[in-house]
Amino acid sequence: MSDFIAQLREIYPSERLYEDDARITPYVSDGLTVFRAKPAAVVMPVCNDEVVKTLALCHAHDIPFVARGSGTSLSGGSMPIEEGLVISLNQLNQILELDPDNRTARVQPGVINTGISVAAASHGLYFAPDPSSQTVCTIGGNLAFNSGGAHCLKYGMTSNHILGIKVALPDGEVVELGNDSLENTGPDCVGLFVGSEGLMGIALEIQVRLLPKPESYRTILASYDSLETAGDAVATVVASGILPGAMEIMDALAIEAAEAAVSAGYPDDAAALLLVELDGEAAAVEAEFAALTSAIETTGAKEVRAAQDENERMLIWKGRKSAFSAVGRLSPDYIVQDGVVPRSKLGEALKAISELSADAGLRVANVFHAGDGNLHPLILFDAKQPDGLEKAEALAGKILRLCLRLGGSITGEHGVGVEKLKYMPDMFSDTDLEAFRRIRRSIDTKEISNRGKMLPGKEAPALSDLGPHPLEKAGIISRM
Amino acid sequence: MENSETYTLQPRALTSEPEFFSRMISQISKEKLGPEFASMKDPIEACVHCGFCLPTCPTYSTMGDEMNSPRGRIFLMKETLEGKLEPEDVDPYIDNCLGCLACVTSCPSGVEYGELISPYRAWSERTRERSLTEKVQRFAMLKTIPYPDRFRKASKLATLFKPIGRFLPKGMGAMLELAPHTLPTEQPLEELHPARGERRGRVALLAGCAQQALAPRINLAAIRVLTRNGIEVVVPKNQGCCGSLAMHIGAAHDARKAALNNFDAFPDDIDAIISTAAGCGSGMKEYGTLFAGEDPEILEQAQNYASKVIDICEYLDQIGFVPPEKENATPITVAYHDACHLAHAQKIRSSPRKLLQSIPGLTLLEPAEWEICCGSAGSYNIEHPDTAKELGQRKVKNLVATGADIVATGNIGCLTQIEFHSKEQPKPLRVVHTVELLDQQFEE
Amino acid sequence: MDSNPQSIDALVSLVKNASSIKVRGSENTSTQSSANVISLSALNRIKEYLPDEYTISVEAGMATSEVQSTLAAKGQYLPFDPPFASEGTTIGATIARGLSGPESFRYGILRDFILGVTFIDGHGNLIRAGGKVVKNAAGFDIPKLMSGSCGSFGIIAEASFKVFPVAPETRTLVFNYSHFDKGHEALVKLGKSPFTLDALDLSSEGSLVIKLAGQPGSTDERISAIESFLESRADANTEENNDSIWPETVQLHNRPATGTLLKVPTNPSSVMALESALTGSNAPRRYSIGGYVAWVHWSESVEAVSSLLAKLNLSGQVVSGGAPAIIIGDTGQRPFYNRIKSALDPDGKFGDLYAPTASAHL
Ligand SMILES: Cc1cc2nc3c(=O)[nH]c(=O)nc-3n(C[C@H](O)[C@H](O)[C@H](O)COP(=O)(O)OP(=O)(O)OC[C@H]3O[C@@H](n4cnc5c(N)ncnc54)[C@H](O)[C@@H]3O)c2cc1C
Ligand code: SF4
Ligand code: SF4
Repeated sequence: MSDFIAQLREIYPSERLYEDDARITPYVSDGLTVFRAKPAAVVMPVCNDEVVKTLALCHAHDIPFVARGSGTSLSGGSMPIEEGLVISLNQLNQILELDPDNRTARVQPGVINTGISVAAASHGLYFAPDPSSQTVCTIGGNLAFNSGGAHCLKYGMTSNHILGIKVALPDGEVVELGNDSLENTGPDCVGLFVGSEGLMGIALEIQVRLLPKPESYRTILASYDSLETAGDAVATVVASGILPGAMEIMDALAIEAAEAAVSAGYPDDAAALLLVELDGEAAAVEAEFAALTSAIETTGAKEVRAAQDENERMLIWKGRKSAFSAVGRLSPDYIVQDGVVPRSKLGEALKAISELSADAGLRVANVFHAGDGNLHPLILFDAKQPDGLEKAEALAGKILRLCLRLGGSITGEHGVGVEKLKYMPDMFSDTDLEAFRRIRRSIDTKEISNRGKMLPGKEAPALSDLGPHPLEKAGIISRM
Repeated sequence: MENSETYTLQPRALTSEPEFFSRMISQISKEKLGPEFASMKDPIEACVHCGFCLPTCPTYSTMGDEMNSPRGRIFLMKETLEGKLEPEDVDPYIDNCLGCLACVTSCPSGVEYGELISPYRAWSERTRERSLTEKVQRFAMLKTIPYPDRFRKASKLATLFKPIGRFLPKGMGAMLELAPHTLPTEQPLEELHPARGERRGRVALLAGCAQQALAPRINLAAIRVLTRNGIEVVVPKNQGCCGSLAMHIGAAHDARKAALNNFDAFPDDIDAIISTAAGCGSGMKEYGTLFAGEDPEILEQAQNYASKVIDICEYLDQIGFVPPEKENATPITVAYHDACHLAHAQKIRSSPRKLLQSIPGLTLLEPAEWEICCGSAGSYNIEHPDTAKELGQRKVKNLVATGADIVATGNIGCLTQIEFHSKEQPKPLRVVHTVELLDQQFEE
Repeated sequence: MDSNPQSIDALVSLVKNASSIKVRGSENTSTQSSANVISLSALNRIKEYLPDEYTISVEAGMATSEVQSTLAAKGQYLPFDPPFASEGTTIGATIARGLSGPESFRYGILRDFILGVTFIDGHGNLIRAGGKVVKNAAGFDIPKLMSGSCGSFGIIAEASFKVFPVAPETRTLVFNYSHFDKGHEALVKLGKSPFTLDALDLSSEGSLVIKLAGQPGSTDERISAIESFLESRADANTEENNDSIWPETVQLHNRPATGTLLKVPTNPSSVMALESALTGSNAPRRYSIGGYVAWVHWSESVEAVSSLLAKLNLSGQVVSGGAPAIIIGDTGQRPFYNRIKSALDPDGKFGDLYAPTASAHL
């Protein structure tokens, strides 16, 4: 280790190599603060060459590393590895090239998601993936987690907007995946890399696709007496054959929190709010709007209102996008889940969640991407209670298994990270997991890239919900 | 196919005992902190670590590292209060904070960062060993800026010393560099300014210290606009500095002393205490926190005083500002710069804009990155000249890009900072206080 | 060798015991009849179709046209517009070869719509990855990896897709330009515009072909908007999904019987460069998906077109016909490919995309 650090010092000046506690401490966790681990050091590269050298060094010394963007992962994805290295990519934050004719941009991984759209705005273009954290999170993080957003119902996830990647593999070899076209030849290696949760090395340069900004938007808010009816309304809209840009639901707790945070002007007596947005050419949007309103009319909404202007529309979205953090106002602690269910089973799933929540005696706030069945139950708890976190985790486990039982997935966009490791065997067989591991090892023989994330170790099959996390038992992570 | 090197969760050497469930929240107790510092616990607990505050934080956006972000600082303070980190190791990153409170505006979780940073600074100051230069610098600041007379004398002295600035420690060099070459002539204010026309109210004006020396024209403009709107203005004679600067850098004792003086100096029979400097206004509004843990009677006095404090623009908007009727309006473009202590600390953004837009012929322009501090932040440009300079230049760039004729703002610190950094521009910016533009409307 | 496994289990044991194996991609082609070629024609069922969910899972041997008609019966479709359906291609082959048609311009290509796959790797393991719901972030995105892998990582047995509702009204417009450059200019201009077109194609003669779809009655207004944006009237404007125009774009119907059909990923800028490089050759060609792919039929030496592409930093994939390798031109992705290949098919049972082969499947 000391040898390793000594060699790091040859690559980085001390201002960009943190070895002292005061500078390391702020990096011990990501957005999932219940887990943290202390790395041996943090480095802040300013060029590709430094990244490549660092990886080669890690490989030679068998030191695990984790790339870090803005640290907003909600699953422990960018949590450090105990005694490993954190590679902070925040200074690799340049837009290298923007080509309006080809509608592409080549960017460094530390560029903030909205930064791309801001740069492209003068050409009437934008970057479509819009995670709620888009003003903060980096494109590198989006790529590693294949992040989604409200508008991925129509436009797809991050993966659908990445055309090519220059990657530093975990042993320091630099490879190019994909190209600067929407099409590709041979296997979709870009598709494999996107969403690999940092297990395949570090993306150094990313070719993204830009879309022309829609000519017009129509955003409506429909309020309901129960979460279940709102959930069923989604199925009705989907079945009507209209393809909205976004379709989101917030329940009473989430509405309360978002209102407190940004005064979005949501109806205050709703048990649930359905937010639907249409976008596209003005004539097409108006025609869809008529069809949408008549579909919504059949869903038993208490009140339906449409945003009157761009300001109102922005405010509606601001409320929605602040909701996760705003829930911090309601409870000292919470964990966000990210399960997916078939859309036609949304109503059923929401009802079951509220029953589970009542059984556990814990409040659950719901704010989620209804259009694609991607739930985000926020489980509110108080870590000061002796069994607070355990109870919350047990409830989370039940919700995830419910999603699987209904034919869905344990994560739609936040990734497995460390948080959902123990549920992977519920979703994949040993053979499937072994195939993942083989692929991983073909790229990272020493398994140093984000070690301990996404793929459970072989002997960690179904673990009980209660008790310390397997990584905790191993002393690799600890809790705040 | 058998490739057994799969990484398994083998127990690895433990560097520390895992701490199950030991959230710090249960580890800082309000009792232990004492009433003076108890308020620190709430913002720490409210932070969910989401990072939404990162992009608007001026230090994060220039330095790009966690410890210089609000999220990182909150975490560092928490760890220090818990005894896991030494205050002196953390101080540099806390010191870098401008106290601009942009993080409060952007925080969806309602973290009142201001209620953490000010007490924390006072908390850590109690045990802090400062170097001699630092001490001299802080002493010089605390003993000159708040006193218009001394400030004037010091400025003259500074002009003499400017040529040797580069031989001095960085901060002191900056103090000299920023010191104005010449100061406008002194303009003592009358104690009472009767309302013109029908009397609609009676207010007391905090004259401010540095502002009164640097730009006495601002208070004169404020008084004229107020009186012409039917407001009687008292300028209490024995008033002194409000203590905000001291509060800002953790010199709580000095701050309380200043405040107590003003509690006595200001009359009771007034509707409001008007501030024309955002920094003073926001500081005075925080007196409740400053005096937390003091004698209940004094605390009540502080809260009472604080509740009357109001910014000039907020007040004019509330009473319904009436500009004079004008025949022919000259078209003019104005970029409004949000002073942090107005926009973030006092959440005042719309009233100055409304007032400006009531001026006939005026087109209001919005610069990019309104949330980001200009780098002035009280004494920041003295203590952290490099960052302050970078931020100042960035702000000027954004303001110049609007193409406006004039920049309007609500704080003397921003005004001087922007003016100073726009000197290098081919066409230096003209920066005025919002109230000055209103005042011009009344000029014949 | 049992060349027509009746079940997935049979397919698994076949792969386990074989040293080299290939799947026939279309029942209509008889070109491949060597011993190691198998047919998946028995694996041709719909596993699950949930119209309310807008998802479908099918076995790989099912003809693409059959998948399409099943969906059409419920007013739905595969938005990546699988080509060659009329030539009998199976859905498995479509995935393996990574083929999308002109309409993928609107919502995305094959990789954007594949949700899950079940496949047998070179070790003979039956692997499921991805899911059936429209969104899933657990595990590596192997469904995407399989798209375009040309079977070289494993044999696809089943796949699930996200599908979309068919728009009630469809129109096809043709603008004939005097010169390719003019057509190209219009293509770039439209691509950057907020018009939401279902397809945007350009022929080497300079004909711009557009498809748009929407709610009943909304298309007329949009067409006039497009015409005024392009400052010219459409030379043809047909109400239907015009069959004589669209399959043509990919399949180059008038292409000679022999030769090699290539898919070349491009972008609007490289389309210009490629067209100038091809001007003078008599290769039938077409630019599709708004200029993001070129379909080129090449009758001369493949080595020549390979080096032509490499010079332009373009890569080509042989879709049908003989060639020295499946991927020609720029082969920059090969080092990464090799690593994955070593994980899934270390013994090379399924062939190598970059190594010499007898012929591509079709
Ligand atoms: C309030 C809030 C709301 C959110 N809303 C959404 C949402 O709507 N949709 C959604 O999908 N997510 C959401 N998230 C989760 C999170 O913001 C996303 O996962 C985001 O993409 C993470 O980006 P980051 O820059 O913070 O990455 P980090 O957290 O720093 O890193 C995430 C992962 O990416 C890896 N990584 C980072 N950079 C690279 C690189 N260059 N190469 C390889 N690997 C890399 C890291 O190792 C880590 O595994 C939300 C989070 C918060 C706190
Ligand atoms: S007060 Fe300003 S400088 Fe300090 S942490 Fe908040 S945003 Fe950053
Ligand atoms: S935005 Fe608020 S809750 Fe989020 S990290 Fe910053 S201070 Fe904490």
